[in-house]
Amino acid sequence: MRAKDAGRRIGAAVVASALVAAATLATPPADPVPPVFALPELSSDVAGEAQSIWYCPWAEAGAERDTVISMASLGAADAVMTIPNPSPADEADTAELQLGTLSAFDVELGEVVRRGQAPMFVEFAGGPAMVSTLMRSNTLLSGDRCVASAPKVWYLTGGTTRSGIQLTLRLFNPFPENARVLVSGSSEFGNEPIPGGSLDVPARSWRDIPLSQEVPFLDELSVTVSSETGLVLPTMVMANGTDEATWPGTPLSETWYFPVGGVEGVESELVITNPGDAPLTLDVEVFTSEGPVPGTSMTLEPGGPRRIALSEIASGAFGISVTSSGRTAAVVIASEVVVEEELGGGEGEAPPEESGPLGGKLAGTVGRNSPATRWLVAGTGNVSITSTVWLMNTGLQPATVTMQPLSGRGEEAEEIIVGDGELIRYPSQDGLGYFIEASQPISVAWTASSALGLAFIAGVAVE
Amino acid sequence: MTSASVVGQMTPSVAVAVLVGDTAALLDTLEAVSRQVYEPTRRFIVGGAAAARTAAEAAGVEWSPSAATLIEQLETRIDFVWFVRSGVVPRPDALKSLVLETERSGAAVAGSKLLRSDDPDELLSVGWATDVYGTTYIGLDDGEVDQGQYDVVRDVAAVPGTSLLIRRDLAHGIGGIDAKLAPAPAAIDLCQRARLRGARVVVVPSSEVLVPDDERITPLWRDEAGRIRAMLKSYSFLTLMWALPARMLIGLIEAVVAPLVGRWTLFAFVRAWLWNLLHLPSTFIARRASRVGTVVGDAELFRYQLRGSASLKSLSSELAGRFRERLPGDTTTSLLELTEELRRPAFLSGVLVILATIFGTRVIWRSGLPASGYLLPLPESATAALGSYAGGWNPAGFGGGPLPPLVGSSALVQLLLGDRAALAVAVLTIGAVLFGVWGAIRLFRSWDLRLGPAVAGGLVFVAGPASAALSRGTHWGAFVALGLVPWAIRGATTRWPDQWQRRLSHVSGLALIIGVLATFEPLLLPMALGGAILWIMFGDAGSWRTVVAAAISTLAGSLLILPWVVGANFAQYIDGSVFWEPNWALVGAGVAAGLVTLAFAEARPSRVAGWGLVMVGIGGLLARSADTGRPILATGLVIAALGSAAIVAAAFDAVAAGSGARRFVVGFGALGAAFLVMSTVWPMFPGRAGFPAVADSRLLELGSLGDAPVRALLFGPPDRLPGDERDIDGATYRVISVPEPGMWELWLSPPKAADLALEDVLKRLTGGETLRLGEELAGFGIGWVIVVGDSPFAPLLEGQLDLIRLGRADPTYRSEVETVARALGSDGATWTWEGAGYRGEPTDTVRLAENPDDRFGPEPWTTDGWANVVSGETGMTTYTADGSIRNAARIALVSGVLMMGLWLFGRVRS
Repeated sequence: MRAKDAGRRIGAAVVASALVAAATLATPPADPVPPVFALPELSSDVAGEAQSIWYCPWAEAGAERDTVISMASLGAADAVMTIPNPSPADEADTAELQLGTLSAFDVELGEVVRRGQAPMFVEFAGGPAMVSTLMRSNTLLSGDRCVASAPKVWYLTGGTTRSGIQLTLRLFNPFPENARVLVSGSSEFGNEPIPGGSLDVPARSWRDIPLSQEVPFLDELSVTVSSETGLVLPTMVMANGTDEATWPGTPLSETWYFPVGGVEGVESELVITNPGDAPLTLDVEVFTSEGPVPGTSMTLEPGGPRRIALSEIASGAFGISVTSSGRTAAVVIASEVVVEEELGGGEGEAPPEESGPLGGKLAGTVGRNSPATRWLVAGTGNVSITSTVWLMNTGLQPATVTMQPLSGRGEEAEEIIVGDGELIRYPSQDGLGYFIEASQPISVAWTASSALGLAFIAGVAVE
Repeated sequence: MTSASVVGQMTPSVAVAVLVGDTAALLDTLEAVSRQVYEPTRRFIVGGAAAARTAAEAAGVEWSPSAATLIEQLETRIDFVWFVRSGVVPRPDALKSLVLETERSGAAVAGSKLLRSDDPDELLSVGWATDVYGTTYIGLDDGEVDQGQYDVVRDVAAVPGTSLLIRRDLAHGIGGIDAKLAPAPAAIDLCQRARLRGARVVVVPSSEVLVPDDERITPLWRDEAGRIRAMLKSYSFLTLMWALPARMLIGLIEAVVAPLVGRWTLFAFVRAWLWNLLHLPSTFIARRASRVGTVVGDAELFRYQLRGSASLKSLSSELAGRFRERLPGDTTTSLLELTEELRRPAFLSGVLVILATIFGTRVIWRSGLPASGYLLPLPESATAALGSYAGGWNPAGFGGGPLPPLVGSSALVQLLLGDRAALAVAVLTIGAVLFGVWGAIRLFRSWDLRLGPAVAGGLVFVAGPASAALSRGTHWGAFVALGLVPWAIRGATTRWPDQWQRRLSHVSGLALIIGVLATFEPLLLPMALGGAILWIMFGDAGSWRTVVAAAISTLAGSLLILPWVVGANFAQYIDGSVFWEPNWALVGAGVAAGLVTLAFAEARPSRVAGWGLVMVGIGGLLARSADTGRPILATGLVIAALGSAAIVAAAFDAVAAGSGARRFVVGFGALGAAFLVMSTVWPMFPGRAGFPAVADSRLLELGSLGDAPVRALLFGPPDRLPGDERDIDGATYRVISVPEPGMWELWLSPPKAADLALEDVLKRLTGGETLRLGEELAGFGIGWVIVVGDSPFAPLLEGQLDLIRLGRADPTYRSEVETVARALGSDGATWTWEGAGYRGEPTDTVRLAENPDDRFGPEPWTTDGWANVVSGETGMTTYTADGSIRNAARIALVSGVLMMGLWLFGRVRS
């Protein structure tokens, strides 16, 4: 009996220990790794197949200024223009449009609403489609493409707050959620705190930061806009008292392509910022109608922006590509060469400073991070300006390029050859915009010029 | 005679009416009446059949068919009528005392002191107190001896009709005795009507009447029906407005609780109210007669009534007595022995258990349980939830599929508690704690462990590491099942009864317990059988017949979850990926305690410890099986909880049983067990039985999102989302109703058309193709998007043009779309969710944003994409229940009632 009891105890202990041990040794299932969903970082200048929204922060329609909103679409698409009202009690103004296949359309903003500053966005039900703006007055001409996405961090380089320049940063929040953003700057002196740099941008509204007043007398100013909550679309606006230049924010990239690098009669500068911690090597290649010409190479130190006078590298009309060993933000600024008399400088007066725009025409544009085979440009059909489409082939093969006017009148497409390393300027005839298809990846932009002003406008690649 | 002549000079003339109940006992009463020293003017036999009439003729007394007729036919010279029930024997001076004291006190109604005829020293009644509902309170202890302690004439609420003297004119004025009522409520009714006319009702203890012990018992329902009718006749409308609903609620509570003390009052309750419904016209006529000429209000009646419910007080006292009886080892005593009883371990243990339960659940009473994890408030309508469980529409997500039996069982409890959802949750949760401890104590006591160790085991069972993991993980169903598990194991391991009635009762009772616990967690169905087999394998004296009985009971018990069995997708039910991470220090302490006790303790605690160790091992294996779902985890935790409780009880018992070196060694085991007991403080201390804090339940805030009955799309990790979730590439989300999500929404069925359509929308969102998410979600009836915790979806919401973020802790977005509706009429009007369907203004058609199902109506039923479109002409939608599930539900209900009936039958017969 005693032996039986002992056996029972031992048996039970063995079974129980085995079960407990098995339970103890069991390993937990691996924690599932959730995916990361994020808005595409570099899609702010791509026209996709699906529905899209293009945000245009710098638009105005008042007594002196008006803005042409230019749209182009490859497919039939319904479009809705929405101009938020800064007064929360008032509804946004809207206009509905229908774009046919391979069509472009210009809308004078003043025909929809005329209340001065009017950042807006255009919503396309289909695509690919894109929007660009061109602001005009009796004294100025400025504009650039709009942006199609809203990342959390934007880089805007190329600014200056030297005397005679009005530099403004516009933060446009078209979304229904209030945004809280951090605006930080860097200058030739290193990091440049922006007073009131952490600020709220009300939903469906905008805020302008007068950088010239906040951080005056800086030759170089680069700005980073980071959203803590919500999202904003920033744009930089630089005015010299005569003309105005505007360019949107961009993400960072190791390569930048600027088909419009320089134009006759203006002095161009590449302003590039290395936001990283280490120096970068930088190669600037120049492309002209005669083919590539020698560019320049240099080391780009981290910190403040670096201004490179492109006019010292090339002359006439040219485009550039920028390749660096790390990610940078870049913009091309062009200003008219103004002789002393034109500035009113007479004898005994101090001559204007050698560098920097003062008076005259002013333009600025962002580049694109890679060439593409399909492009859309819009707004080239405005009769009061001279529009020229710039086609830059940075590849090693000639590209056959089809220029399809988007006039809606069924014009035949024109085929042209852009040789390897060649820049071709294609004067716009009667197309309100162009769909450009190339056999090799190329880069596309266009310029608008008149007696009063000059604007560089980046093309939009088609997905 | 001298005294009679003296009284006679006072000239109150009395007519005696012997009310015939038992004709055989009539002669004794007539003889006793004839011996009265106070000579009545006239004597009558009232009622009875021809035999009574013959007896009247033989005895030389008059006969009257009814009390009412008698009152009518008595001449005005008669001052009093003395009603005496046949079978009783008034002492010779009974009438004299009644008349003298009534005259002296100025009363109009008087009753005698009632004594047992076979033991005239024992008191049966000295007048009644009643509560407002007419339930009598005698105010005497069982077997209380008459020592003259009540011998004073005093006002009482009522006197029994056994011996009742009333002024003739008053009796005539108030319409006499209500012949429709049973004796007791008839007497109360008569006294109340008399009092409303300003009359005093007194008891005259010097008038003694002997009452036989074999007094005929009136059926329960007749007493209840009479009390209700008496209320209806006497009280003002104002009083009736609160008294009647309160009486009904009390009756319901009695129906639920009384079976615990072996009484079944539900049918009597229902029959009593139905009887009154049928007799409502005559009641109104009688009420008019009784209320005319009243000189005092209800307040005069209340003066002589008890506060509260006498029946509930009696029931709770009876329950307490039963509870005390169930604490083994000691016998109950009267209040006189209170001091002695307070020193007894059984009483102290009972008090400790109750105090621990109150302490550990105190917050639940006040604030309820949180709404988080797998715990949401019960649906507002219990009938709707029952209908949905029984084959109706499952509203979880976009609907469809069977609901777990927890929905049905909790809805049933809610229904029995007057459709009060929060009360049902509180009662079930707290009941689980109380019954869990109690059941564990009873189980371990039945395994011959001592009371103290059993109590310690009981505490560990409901608040030890495993059960704390249950509540912390919001396994509410399994937690409620804890309250029944030890009872099921005890039933399955208890000795096989000798009598066939007891066997029948045993099997059906065990089946009922197993079935009910399975409704709260189906996977626990075989636990009792498994526990019994294990117990026998450990060589206990149990027989395999009890195992066979447990197997039969398990099979029968499974009938209660038949609706779920018919429709459930078992593979999906156990699917999941959860894992128990216990406190390893406590596991080590418990296992050490178990092994030491198993190896070195006396035979009995050693067996219990071995049983507990194996249970802990099995439970641990289940709870730590990777890639299994919550039901398996919960089942494992319940098994481990009982196993650890057994180890603790055995370890302490081993110390008490051992001696010398053995006692020293097993003391180490008890040390480990002490750690487990101490660990129970942590889940009990916050007062929520281990459940998360209400403040943590962000889902409750859904109620503040407005009244619009829409849906909310929740993004977040699985442990932050309520109930089941769906996912896109591992990023989890789910849809839930606002403003008041219900527990029936926790369990999602496999995705159907609407679910897939939503998945498409979300995939477009993740691809950056959706810019107006609010507009796309509006068709699903989704008006809110909420991010709870970290979610990959969160950054995608910031660029949406029609979602407005609100200033809340969790990112909460409101859709700007004007019309968001789960059901939308063709006229553009929104229909609202009510119960388990939609209701709105009649219109041509209604679009229902639910998974398509052709059982939706009214016809014609069509689809609009994935949504249902039905006729809106009736102003409400219908859903035809799944016939097979509905029939299964009927079978389950009938089976449950049958099991309960057989259980009670067996107990009563044996």
